[in-house]
Amino acid sequence: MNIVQVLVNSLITSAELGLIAIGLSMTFSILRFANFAHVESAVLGAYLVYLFNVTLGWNFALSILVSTLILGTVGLALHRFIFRRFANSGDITPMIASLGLAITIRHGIQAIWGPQHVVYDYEVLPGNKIFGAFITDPQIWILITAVSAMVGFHCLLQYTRIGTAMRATAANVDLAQACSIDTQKVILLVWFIGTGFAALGGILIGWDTQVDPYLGFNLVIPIFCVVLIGGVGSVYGAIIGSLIVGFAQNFGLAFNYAPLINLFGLLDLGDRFDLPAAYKPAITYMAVVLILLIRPTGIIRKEVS
Amino acid sequence: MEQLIGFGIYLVTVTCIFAMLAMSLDLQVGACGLMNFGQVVFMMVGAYATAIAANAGINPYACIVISMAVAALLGVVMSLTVKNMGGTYWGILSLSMAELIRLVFLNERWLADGANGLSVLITIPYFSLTVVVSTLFVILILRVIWLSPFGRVIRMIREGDRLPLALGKNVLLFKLETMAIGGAIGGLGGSFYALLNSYISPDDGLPIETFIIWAMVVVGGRGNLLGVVAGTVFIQILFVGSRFLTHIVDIDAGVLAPLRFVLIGLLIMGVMMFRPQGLIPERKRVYRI
Amino acid sequence: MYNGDSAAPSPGAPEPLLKVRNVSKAFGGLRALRNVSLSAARGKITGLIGPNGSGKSTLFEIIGGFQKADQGRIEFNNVEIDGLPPYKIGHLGLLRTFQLSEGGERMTVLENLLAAVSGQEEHRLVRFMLRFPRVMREEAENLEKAKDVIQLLGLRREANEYAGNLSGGQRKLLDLGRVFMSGATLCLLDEPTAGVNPTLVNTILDALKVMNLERGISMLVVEHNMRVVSEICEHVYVLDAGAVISDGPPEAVQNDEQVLEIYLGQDRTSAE
Ligand SMILES: Nc1ncnc2c1ncn2[C@@H]1O[C@H](COP(=O)(O)OP(=O)(O)O)[C@@H](O)[C@H]1O
Ligand SMILES: [Mg+2]
Repeated sequence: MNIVQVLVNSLITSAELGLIAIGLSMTFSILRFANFAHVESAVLGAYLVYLFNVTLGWNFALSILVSTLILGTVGLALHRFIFRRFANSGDITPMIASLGLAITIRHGIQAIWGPQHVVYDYEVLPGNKIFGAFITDPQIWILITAVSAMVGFHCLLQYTRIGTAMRATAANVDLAQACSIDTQKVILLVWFIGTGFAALGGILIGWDTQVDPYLGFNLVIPIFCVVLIGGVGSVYGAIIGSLIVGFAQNFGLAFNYAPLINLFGLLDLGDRFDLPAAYKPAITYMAVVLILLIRPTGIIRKEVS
Repeated sequence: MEQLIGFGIYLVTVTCIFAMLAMSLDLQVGACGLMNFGQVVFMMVGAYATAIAANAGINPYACIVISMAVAALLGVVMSLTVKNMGGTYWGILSLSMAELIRLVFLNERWLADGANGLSVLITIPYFSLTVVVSTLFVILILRVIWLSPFGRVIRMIREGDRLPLALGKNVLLFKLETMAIGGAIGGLGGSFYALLNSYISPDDGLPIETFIIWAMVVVGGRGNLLGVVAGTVFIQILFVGSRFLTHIVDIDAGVLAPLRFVLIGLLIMGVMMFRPQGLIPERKRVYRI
Repeated sequence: MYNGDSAAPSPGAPEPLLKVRNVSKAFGGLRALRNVSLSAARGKITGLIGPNGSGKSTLFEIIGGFQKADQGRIEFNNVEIDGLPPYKIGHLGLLRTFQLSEGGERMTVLENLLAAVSGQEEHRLVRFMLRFPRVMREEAENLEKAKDVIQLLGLRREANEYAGNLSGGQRKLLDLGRVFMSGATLCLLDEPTAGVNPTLVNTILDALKVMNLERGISMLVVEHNMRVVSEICEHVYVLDAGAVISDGPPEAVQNDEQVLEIYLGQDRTSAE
């Protein structure tokens, strides 16, 4: 496969994963539980765009905007009506509750839209040929959208008071509270932005390929993988983690393992051995297992002050 | 009428099998605090072991024992990854491990015919009776474990490693034993599962199965065998009962199937929100003073 | 000027039960322990005092095997224990408690005491199954023992209460109860009277005396309350900023200039 193609695919996967992972990493750190339902917000966001864009025939950009905002609000509602009450009940109870929520959303989607995949309504054009790789217009738009969302978020974090408060809270809630930061306000904002970004990530996946009700499950481990690599609570870590996972997923398949295996003299496989495409998810599963065994606190642990 | 009795027996058997899987999970989660999100893998591996052994012409009872041994071994391997990891992290790890194993069964045709799955062409006499008696036996064993010094120590481990370590308990060994027993019971359930359905495929090991088993445990009541069994029966009734709903109300089967899971999800959520200890909570052991 | 551990064994004196030699530990740039040497005499109560953050709990973590020292050696009962996993150290009869009592919250006081019994190989499942009658007999004996301990600690009303529902002071008592049950020969107590109301302090003091005099359990005690220290300790070490700055009998240490300085500078009441 063309190397530029793999590179572009990796970047797109990373952008999608990164947007979704940011919110999970922050809630994981601040609220101290693993929200298994987080990825389902991404899927729900993607389906809402389908509803607006295809079923109701709205403008595509408008559909994306509205869907993202709705999911942000849904995040607030989830906090208000479900997760807020778990403030003092440890990490296990809210985690199991989030599992229940994930099952509810996933199968709710299936009950409404059916088990088949759906695609959005936009004109399919032949891709642009860049360095021998085919890159479609939507893919370019996806990258632009993701990068601008992240840059916007970066500016919020770096140049506003509330952004500083968010970074401080995500890094260490107790310390932030002790420094009289209004953590309640921060938590609400984290839910809003985190869930909204997740929706945006899901929408981009839908735009890039398609959405089906099982998308959430296929995402859950890769997203945790991103968060664990980046370090729980680190926004920039999540972005770097998503690049690593995105590249590993795409290059892992494009890589010829034969020389490596022959080098160790394990087996003689001839001169070409690719990982079968069916094992693509295995790359992240293996990564999660190894990361947790080696360094449960995350690979890139960069404290933000 | 005969059909109805047959269906009744089938139901009882299925419920018993899931009760075993749920009690096995409860030993790990409810007693020892091991958040196993890959519980279904014991069932799947146990079922596959029986299928492969049966196809190799091994005696059915030996197949069951093999299943238990293989799943117990898997439990040991899984326990080696626990180390001193927090519950959440090991939950994610066990989920990944279970999916990895399922992926291997799905893709390796030489191992168990990949996605096609395997047929199990053996039976044992008085199958349903055997399952029921085995379930009762499992209940008895787990009850004894819970009351034993071993059970006391793993309940201490549930609250954290540090105190039991200070008291000289080899925490990892206790976790290993817990996972081995949990695995063996899960493997037994899996073996029966294969014998009951005469078939096993990677689809039987989907993560959603794990979460159904979790629902049985948390809805019924972690740390209470009666609660777990009640939870299993309750969820089973919910599943089977809703199947008959199509006869009563005009609802499409394609919509009903996911709605059942929505109900399960809501149940898990509701219980965690309003009664986190489950419908029949763990009971305190009171000694006379 | 402080010139070394005065309780270090001189020829002819009995070997101390615990010997800590030149232990250092740094957390990043923070040197929590610098070359700490101290020893705990057999059958005696040894005190360890020092202001907050001076490294007392860190030392306990290291002796108990919960954290690794950067350097230094630790010997317990003539066995080198540095580098051993915590459970092996516990098994040898060295039991440490935690500054904030932790663990066993969803077990009753009695169950906590029973779980503390060590050397009971039947805690392991296979042996339990194989030797069922013997285990049950031992259980009955241990239960009687636990009831005595509960009587001694005055926890009779709370015997069947979850440990998580006890007050801070009662949990400290339970920590002591576990020491009684465990058969440990040395226990490291991290602030056994911190945050405990005065009546309970006396109960704890009495329990400590029983433990030491009647059961012969040696102790290394971190304690801020000087009254307690002078009453029970034979020998006291003073830790400041990770280093031992003084040691000797409580009266001597209390009048040591340097010690007065760090304590008066920090908190007058605790130095009295
Ligand atoms: N795990 C740790 N990581 C980083 N610093 C630590 C850790 N444990 C203790 N410290 C630091 O080491 C110093 C000694 O702490 P501690 O042993 O708890 O003191 P003490 O028990 O005497 O009050 C303190 O400054 C504390 O902040
Ligand atoms: Mg301390």
